[in-house]
Amino acid sequence: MSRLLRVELDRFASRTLIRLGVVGVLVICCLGVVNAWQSASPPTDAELDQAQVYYEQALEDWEADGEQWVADCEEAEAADKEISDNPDAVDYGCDSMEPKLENWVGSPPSFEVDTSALLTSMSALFVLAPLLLAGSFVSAEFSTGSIGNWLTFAPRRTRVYLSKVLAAGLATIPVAAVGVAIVLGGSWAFYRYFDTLDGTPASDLSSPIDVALRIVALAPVVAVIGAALGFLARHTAAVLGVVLAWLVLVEVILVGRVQELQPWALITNVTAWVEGSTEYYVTQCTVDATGQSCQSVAHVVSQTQGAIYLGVLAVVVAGIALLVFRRRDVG
Amino acid sequence: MSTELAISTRGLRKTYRSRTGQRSVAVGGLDLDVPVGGVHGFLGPNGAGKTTTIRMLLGLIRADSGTMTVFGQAVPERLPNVIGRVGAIVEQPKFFPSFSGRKNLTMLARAIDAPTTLVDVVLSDVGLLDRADDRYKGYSLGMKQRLAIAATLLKDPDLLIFDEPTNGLDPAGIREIRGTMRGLADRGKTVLVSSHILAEVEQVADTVSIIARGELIASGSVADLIGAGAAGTVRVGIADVPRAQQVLGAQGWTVRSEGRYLLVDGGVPPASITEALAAQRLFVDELVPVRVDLESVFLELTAGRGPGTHAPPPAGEHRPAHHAEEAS
Repeated sequence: MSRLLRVELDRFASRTLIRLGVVGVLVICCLGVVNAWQSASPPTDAELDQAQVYYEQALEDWEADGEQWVADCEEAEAADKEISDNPDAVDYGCDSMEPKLENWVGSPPSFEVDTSALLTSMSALFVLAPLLLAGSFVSAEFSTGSIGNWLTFAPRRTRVYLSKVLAAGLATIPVAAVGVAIVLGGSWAFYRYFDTLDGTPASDLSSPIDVALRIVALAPVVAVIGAALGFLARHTAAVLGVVLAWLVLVEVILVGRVQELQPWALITNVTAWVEGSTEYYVTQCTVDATGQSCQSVAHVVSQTQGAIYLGVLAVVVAGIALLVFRRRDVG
Repeated sequence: MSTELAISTRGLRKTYRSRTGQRSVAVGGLDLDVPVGGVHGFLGPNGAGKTTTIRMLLGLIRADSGTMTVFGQAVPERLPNVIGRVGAIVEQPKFFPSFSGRKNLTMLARAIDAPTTLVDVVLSDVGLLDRADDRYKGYSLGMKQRLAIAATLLKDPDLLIFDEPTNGLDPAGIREIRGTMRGLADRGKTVLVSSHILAEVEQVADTVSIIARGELIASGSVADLIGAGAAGTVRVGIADVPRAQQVLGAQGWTVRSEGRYLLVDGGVPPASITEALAAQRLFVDELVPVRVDLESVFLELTAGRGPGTHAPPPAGEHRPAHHAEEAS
C-alpha cells in the first residue's frame, strides 16, 4: 500500500498538467498579494481632504434628520427581534449612526483583518484547484486507458483506489500551504513596509493564521472528493462538468429558489469552515391588519457544521467511488 | 509439452447490455485450456470474444458465470497471488503518454517492488534503451509494443498474454514480435497469443484454440488441426479434364473439376493418380498435393459464425499473398 502510495505521489508530481495547474495557483496567489499592497498603504493627503468634505456634508444632514433616522432604525430592529430565532444577534447598529470621519477615510489598515478577508476571498481557488487537480490526476488514467495496464501489475482494486485518493489528498497539502504562505507572507511584508502592522486585531476565529490553516486543511478534503469524482466520471472534462453543473444547478438555482436548503449548500459550509462561521438569510413574511410584511432573518452556520458537512460529503463520495471502482469493468 | 494447465476456463460467460437494454453475448460458456509451455494461439474472428476472455482472466472485467484458473489459482479471487507470474498486453499498449518510456517502466517496477535497475535491462532487451527518455506519446506503434513487452518482462513472468500483438505493425515489426514470442516460449515461458491473423500464429504456435461467438469450436496442436482439415487433396493439371475426371471417378475417388484442374480428395497417393491416368494414355501437366493451412481450417470452422468470417474457399484455391508471406 505504502509502495503504491509513493508511486502515485511521484506520478502526481510528475504530471505536466498538474505542474501547470500548480504554477497557475501560485501565480494567482501572487496576484492576490497585490490587493494587500493597496490595503496596507495609508490614505494620501488628497484622499484625506476629500473625505473631510464628505464628512462635513454628512454631519449637516445628521444634525437635521439624525433623530428621526435613529427612531426608524430602532423600530425596524425591534420588529426584526420579534420574529428572529436569535434576537440577541439582531443589531442594526442604531446607536452608531452618527457620521464619523473614518466612514470616508476608510478603516485604518489592519494586517489581521485585511489579510483574513483576502484569504477568505481566495478560498474558492483553494477549493477548486485541489478538486480539479485531483480529478484530473485520476481521470487521466481512465481516459488514456493506462489504468488497465496498471491493474495487471496491481490487481487489488481497493489498494489501488486508496493509493490514488490518498496521494491526491496528500499532494495538494503542500500546494495549498505554499499558496497561502505566499498570500500571508506577501501581505505581512507590505504591511511591514508601510509600517501599518499594528491595526485592529481580528476576531478569535478569524486571524489570518487560523484562516490559512483551515484553507490548508480543506485542500486534501476537496482533493479526495475530486479524486473520487475522477473515478466516477473517468474524464477530466466530465469532472469539470460535474463541478460546474453542481455549482449552477444546485448551489445557484436550486438553493436560490429553496432558501431552506441554504444551510446544506456546499458553498455555505465551505464558507463556514474557512471563516469560522457564516450567516444566511431567509425571508419571513407575516400578514397583519396593515398587510403583508417581509423581513430577512439571519441564521448562523457554525464552523463545526461546516467541518462535519465537508467530512461526511468526502466520505460518502469516496465510498461510492470505491464501490463503483471495485465493481466496474475496466476497458 | 506439459499436461499442466497455465489457463483453464469452464463455462465462462460474459454478456453486455446495450443502451437499448438488449443483451449481447460476448463470451458464451467458454471452456479453454492452455497448457504450460509453448505458444498457444487463441484464434477467432473479430468480435469472437478473445479480448473479453483475456480481460476476464486479468480481472479487468467481471464474468457473469463460469470459473477461471491461472496456474491452478482461481481468478479473479486469487489473482493477486498469481499476477506476478503473468505479463499481459491487452489490445494496444496503454501507458502514461506524457511520461518517458523509462519513467513508465520505473513506476511499474516500483509498484511490484522490482529493482529499478531492471528497467534498463528490459529496455535493452527490446531495443528501446536509446529512446528510453523520449515521451511515450512520441513512440511509434512498434515502439509502444516493444515497451509493453518490456513492461511484461519486469515481472519475469511464466505466462505472457499478447492480445492482437501485431495490429498496426509493419512486416518487420510483425516478424520481430513473432520472434520474441517464440524466443520466450523457447525459454520455457507460456505464451498465449490472441489473433485473427492466422498466418502469424501458424508460424509460432504449438497449440491453438479457435473460438467463434464466444464458444470454443476447436482446439489442439496446430499439426493435428491442420491434419484434421487436410483430407489430402491433390490438384491435377491436365489437358483433357472431362475424360480424366471420368477415369479417376471410375476408380471410386472423389474428383472435382476446377477450371483446367481436377481436385482429387480423400488422401489418394499421387502415384496412384498418375498410374490410373497413364493407363488411359492421359498424361498430367502438373500434380500438386494441396497444402491445407491453419487459415483454411479456421475459415472452415468459423464460417458464418461472426463478423469478418465467410464461407471457406474451395480447398484448392491459392492465396498468392499468403504463400508469398510464407516464402519470406
